[in-house]
Amino acid sequence: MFTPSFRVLLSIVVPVFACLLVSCVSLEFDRMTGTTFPPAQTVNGQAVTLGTVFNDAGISLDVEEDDTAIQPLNIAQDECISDAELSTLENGHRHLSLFPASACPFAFCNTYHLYGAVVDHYGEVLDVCVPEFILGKMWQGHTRSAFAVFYRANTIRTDGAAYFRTTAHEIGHAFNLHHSDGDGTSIMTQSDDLTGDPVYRFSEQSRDHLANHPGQCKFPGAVAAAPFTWVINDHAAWAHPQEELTITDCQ
Amino acid sequence: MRLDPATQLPRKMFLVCIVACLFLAARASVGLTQESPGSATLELTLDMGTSSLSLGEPAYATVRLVNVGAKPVEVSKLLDPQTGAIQIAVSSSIRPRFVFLPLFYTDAVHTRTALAPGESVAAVFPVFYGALGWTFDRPGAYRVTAEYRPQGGAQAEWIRSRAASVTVVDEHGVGASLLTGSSASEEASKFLLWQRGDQLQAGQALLTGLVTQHPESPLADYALLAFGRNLSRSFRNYAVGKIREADCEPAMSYFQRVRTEWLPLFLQIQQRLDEARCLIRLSRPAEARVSMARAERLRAGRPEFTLLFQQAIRLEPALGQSVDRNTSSP
Repeated sequence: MFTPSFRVLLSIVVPVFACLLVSCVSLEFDRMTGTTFPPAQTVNGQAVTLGTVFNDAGISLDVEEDDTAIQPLNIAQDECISDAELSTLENGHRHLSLFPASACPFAFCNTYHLYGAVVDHYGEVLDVCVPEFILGKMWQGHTRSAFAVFYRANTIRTDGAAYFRTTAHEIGHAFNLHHSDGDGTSIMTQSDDLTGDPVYRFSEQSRDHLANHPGQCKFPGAVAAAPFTWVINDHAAWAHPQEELTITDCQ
Repeated sequence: MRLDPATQLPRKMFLVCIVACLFLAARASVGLTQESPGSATLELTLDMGTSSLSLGEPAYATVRLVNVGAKPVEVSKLLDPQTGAIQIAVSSSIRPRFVFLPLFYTDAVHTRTALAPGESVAAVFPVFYGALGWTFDRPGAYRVTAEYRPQGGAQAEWIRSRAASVTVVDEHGVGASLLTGSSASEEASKFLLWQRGDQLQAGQALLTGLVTQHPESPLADYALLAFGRNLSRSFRNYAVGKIREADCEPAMSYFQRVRTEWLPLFLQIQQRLDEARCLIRLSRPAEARVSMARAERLRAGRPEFTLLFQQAIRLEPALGQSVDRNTSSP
């Protein structure tokens, strides 16, 4: 129907115009060899992906599966990856800028960037390796723009639904969502706090945040981003980190 | 009816006992309320280890959650700002109250443990540098408070510790170089925080300069320890796609230059455990046992350091035998 050159033009123009109308988030998603990306889930016969979960909450999330062959660099007796090592992973493999890029000069139509990696290790906590304890981490505490899922954890490796949910949960943190935004079954509810079958959906409180709070309060890597927990409305139970800056923007 | 004095005596004693019991119960109740603000069953304490810091000096918080009630309570087993179980609030006359935010946030499973009456969970973690930069970023007097949030608890139910006071002094500008906000100072701060990080070359250079120019500064000991600890373990550097193997000879040289007694207990134990691991690698098992014994003495049975010993043995299983030997010795 269309000539190849016209199709190429469309493939460029349509996303650009889409991002001019609403803000988009590009997720650059890498994984180590020996791991897989989180599998799409099926609910009522319909495929649920990371994109559809966020789209359902009004966020345009474009997942770009990028590097799939990062070497795990295994060390005998040391199965945990430290925060410092995760930092090198991001430094060495992240291509997208930490900050948004867009032809659009306004905050509401930026393309924000997020980096994620599936690592074939356990995670560390308190400077110590505690196997089977950590499922995921979100970092760049100020910009909220990177996350990792720990594939070595049995829960992640063997339970596709939990793996998918953990990934969506970590991305939720990058959007400044908190465990207190969970409602017992939704994405931000911690596994230990589930009161029913988990659903691949954000709670009403989360959706309110994603829909109504300004860009710097929710988008990962936003310029002058509010750090994690800066939102002080009902959905964030923790107190304001810098109370002298009682910004109402994030309320 | 007139009772015989002999039969009245036990009744009087009974009444005295009842009154005494009521009095003691009331006293106990008053004491409990005073000692556990915000909760009748859990008490949170915070220890900063020192009341005085130099500007740019790393600071570590020890928090302990004790079940002072009569029934078991379910609590978070790892008290760490990264997991969100604990929040550290800081205020001073020169800076309004703010909350310490870690660089990384952690999601875990099986996070709860049942705490029997009288039992406690405790943890030590760094609070000097996080997502908002340096916590004690200018000289002055600070008040630090820990807050524990029970699962599903509203803000009014948070359990708060008493405030710990910390005074920060500028030691002739030595630490100011770590707080400039430059990329080198940020890297140096992360290197002190993680005590690891081959990629943080500019930060390591800054710290090397600090050690050279101000060897007497307490900051020099933290830097030397970080250099030693970094080299004592292999490091996965994904930026270059290679593992840098542990290099124990230079690591031990750094450790020997550290004035260990100037460091917080948490770091003293870390140093002794890393020394022990390196000494095993260097085929000096007798000295490794001495280092392990020193670490055990510093630990003095405190549960907050148990994980550090488990980590050391995980990385160097031969240390487990050393622990067994030390434990069995009189």
